[in-house]
Amino acid sequence: MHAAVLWIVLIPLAAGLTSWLAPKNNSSIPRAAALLGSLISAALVGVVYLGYDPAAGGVQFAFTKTWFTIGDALADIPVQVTLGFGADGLSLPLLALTGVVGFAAAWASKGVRTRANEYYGWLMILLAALYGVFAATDLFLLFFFLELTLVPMYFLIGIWGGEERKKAATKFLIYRGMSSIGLVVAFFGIAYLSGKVGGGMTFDITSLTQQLHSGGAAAGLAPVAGALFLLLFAAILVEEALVPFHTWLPFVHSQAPAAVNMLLGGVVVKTGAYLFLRVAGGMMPAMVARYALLVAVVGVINILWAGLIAFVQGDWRRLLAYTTISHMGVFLLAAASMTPAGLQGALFVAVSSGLLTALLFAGVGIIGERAGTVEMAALGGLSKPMPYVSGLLLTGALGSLGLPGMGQFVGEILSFSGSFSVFPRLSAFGIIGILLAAVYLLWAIQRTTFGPTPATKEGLRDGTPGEVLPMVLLLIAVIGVGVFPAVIGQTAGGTLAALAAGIGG
Amino acid sequence: MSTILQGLTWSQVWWVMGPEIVLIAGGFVLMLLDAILPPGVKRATVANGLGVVALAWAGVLVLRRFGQTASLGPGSYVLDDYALVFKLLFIGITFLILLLSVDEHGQIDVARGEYTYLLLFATVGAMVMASSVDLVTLFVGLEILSVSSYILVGVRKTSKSAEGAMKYLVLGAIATACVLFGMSYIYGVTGTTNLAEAGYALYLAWDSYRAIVVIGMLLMLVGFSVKISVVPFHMWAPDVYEGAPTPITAFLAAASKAAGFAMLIRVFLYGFASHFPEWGGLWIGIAAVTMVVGNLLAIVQRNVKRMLAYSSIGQAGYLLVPFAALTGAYHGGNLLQGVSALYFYLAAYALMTAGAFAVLTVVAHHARSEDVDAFTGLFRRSPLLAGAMTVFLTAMAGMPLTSGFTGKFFIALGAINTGYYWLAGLMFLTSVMAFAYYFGLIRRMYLQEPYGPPELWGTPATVALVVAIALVGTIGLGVAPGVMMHSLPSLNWFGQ
Repeated sequence: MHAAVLWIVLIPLAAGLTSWLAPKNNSSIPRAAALLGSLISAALVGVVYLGYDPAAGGVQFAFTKTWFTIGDALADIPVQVTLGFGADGLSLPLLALTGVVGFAAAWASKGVRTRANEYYGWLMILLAALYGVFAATDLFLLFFFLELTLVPMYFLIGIWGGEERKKAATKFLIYRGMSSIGLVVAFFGIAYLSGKVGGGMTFDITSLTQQLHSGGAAAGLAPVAGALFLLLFAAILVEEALVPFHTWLPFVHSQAPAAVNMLLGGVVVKTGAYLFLRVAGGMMPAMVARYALLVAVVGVINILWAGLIAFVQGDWRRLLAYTTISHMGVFLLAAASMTPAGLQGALFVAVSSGLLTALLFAGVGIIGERAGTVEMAALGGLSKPMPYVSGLLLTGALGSLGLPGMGQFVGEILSFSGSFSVFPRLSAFGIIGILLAAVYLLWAIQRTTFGPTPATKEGLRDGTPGEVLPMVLLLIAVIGVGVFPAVIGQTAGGTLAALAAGIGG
Repeated sequence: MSTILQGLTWSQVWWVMGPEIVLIAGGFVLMLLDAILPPGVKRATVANGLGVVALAWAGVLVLRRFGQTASLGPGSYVLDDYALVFKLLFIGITFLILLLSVDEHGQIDVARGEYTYLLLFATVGAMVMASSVDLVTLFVGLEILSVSSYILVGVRKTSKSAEGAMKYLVLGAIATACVLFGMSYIYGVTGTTNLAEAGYALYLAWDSYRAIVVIGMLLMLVGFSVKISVVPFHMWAPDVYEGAPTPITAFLAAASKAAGFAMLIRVFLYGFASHFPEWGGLWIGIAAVTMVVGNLLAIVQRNVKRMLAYSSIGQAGYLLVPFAALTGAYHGGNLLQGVSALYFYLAAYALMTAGAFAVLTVVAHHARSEDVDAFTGLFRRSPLLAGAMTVFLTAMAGMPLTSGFTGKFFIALGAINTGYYWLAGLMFLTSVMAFAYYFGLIRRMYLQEPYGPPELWGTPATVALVVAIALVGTIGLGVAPGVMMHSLPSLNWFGQ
């Protein structure tokens, strides 16, 4: 059971290869492989989740093997890059998020018939890469997987997307590529500089974090720590598609196929949040403290800006993109506080926003398939022909605006209680965002599902049980998090408390 | 300690120059066969067979020399691991090029004997450049490589080919003149052509003859820059690459460039290192500008060969980074790391370039065009070729699981190690700019349906072999870079 986390990454990879090798023009084998692969890996995440011992803390289920050694990377000290996989309190909730959304997205891909083996192949590679990002215990490996997400996303958007898919694919690639530059320089800068003083360069996240918190290494980092942090922060903003680097996300969302949107909004943009907690919070807490106000202000700007822009969106997918951006604003505001409550809240927001975004995209995908459009102006009164999908969409929207009983509510309560203690005035502004969300989401729902049904939309069939299954699954997950917040709180508590105390994961 | 072989007996010469001798002998035999073979014999088969045998023999000889050091004459031609790894690279590339040339898809319709022996001689020239520690022998190697290449570029006798050859000849001659002129300044100051002695003399003469030394260095820099096609001496490359037969283009991009780098390190880091940090900063500027210009200009190209030419200019910029970074903090460890990283990326680059050009020969043959549109819908016509090309292009773009990712990583680490963060950053920035054209080509292969009837395109066995070797190498160096990175630092690079 020790290498369980390694298998979580390998299984989707194997499923992807199976899908590619399946006979052409046969969509059932690739689909079966993808469903089975994502299900098994999700189940393994569950096993690891239940088997994780929060009291002991730290990285568990670790698998470490030397990948390669760089002889003279730092004067004469060799650096080992390890194939290190494992899970701790911070990565587990995100692995679980990936598991649930990954399976739901694979399920929701039923409509894909053209070039199905390629599609499911890329989808599984993407899933493996996402698992890899959260499961890697080596900074180099983490970056490796982060880069690896670009290729499958490029093909998934570029081949199976909407009218302007090629442009969207390129835009995605360029923006994410740009953010990689910042990340790579920041990662290697941190590892190199801290190694120079701290007695040996390492990419192992745990050792590196410890090294930085034992003092010596931080001194090596000190002269450029601010610059590295800002670079990292900028890269994370691009990664998470936050204002002012957000323009790519609504456009890409409007072009990507529904299942890919679920993964993109649900998991891919959450990698930035993970990096913020893991690298910025874990390795440079002093810098997070120094630039806390900046981070919080960016967070509040995102909450309000995205909230206001969401009002004028006529396209559901663009609206949802802005909802995600606004959620991640809450994340930044909470994470900037670096209080235990704030960090807990940030993690909750990241997870529940991921689940809800995926849920809403799944619903919008079904509507889009039936009605041929997701423009609100062309929709209306859908609750009559499509009661189930409309109901689930409404529930998702309510969850997204923070209805008690769902994950987002817990996240927002914790986030704001954390941030109020540090930035009372900013948080007061931030809270307006919740009101905005309530208004624009309910308004959008009202324009879509209530009112008179246009004649063209009267004959629409409701989602079949098979189609709404991913939505139900995601809904269960998000309610589960809302009703039993301990599932995340207890697992992540120790790791986050250490993070808040500035002693690293 | 290395033995200096003064007497120059046959066995001593053979010990040091064995691989070169084998290739030259092979070339002469081919020349002879060209003249005496009766017309009925298939010359192409004979030439290629003989070429492969000569290369294989030379390769075995090189492998058996590893770990040995010796030098011919009073230190003019050395046998050390530095020379050997480069020789291995040249032989490997030439082997791939010969395989590519077997098929007529590479558009070679000339006497095969001539073509093959010129290729062998060019390889010998490159090998001489790697082994020389004397300005005169170095120059001889450079000329052997250059003159053979001029002819090879023009071998097709079409107007494009002739134009390319002409450009290459004129610019190459100017470069040669610059190198020679620069060398004469160095000789004037130091009174010797031996690199080690001249290096020491320059170290002493630096204060009194700085201006003359710098002029000499700059002239050599210009000449070498032309050879490795870095900005601003890159203008020849796109025209020459476009005009040359595709296998020769691959040879120029991979072997010729590698030889240029071998020479660069030999002269500026092995020989004249003492004051390199003081004037070598110029190389940092060249590296930066080359990365930006090469990758920017590649974006607007419509002809795939020209695109790959500009891309290879950009890649030369990456390759210059470890070299240029050594001006920062110069010490033994950095040198070893820098040269290892450079060599790793050269090998990776040679493999992906050879692979990409191999795919291009097939596509260009079937589509009768080298335009980017020829690649449209390639995944329908030949899924395997499209897949392989995708790997090569993503490797050039520096994506994970390929040698391009690990190679760039090693280079960036070296730059960070010497304090050039911005150079490492710029390297990744230009790589992202390069996404535009690498992924543009990938987009055509996968995201667009082919024009016309979607017939399947066959791939000749030899080309498929080249593609397979390049593919294994590119992915292998990406997944398990340790294999090579472990062995490189343990080499006895400069025989010390």
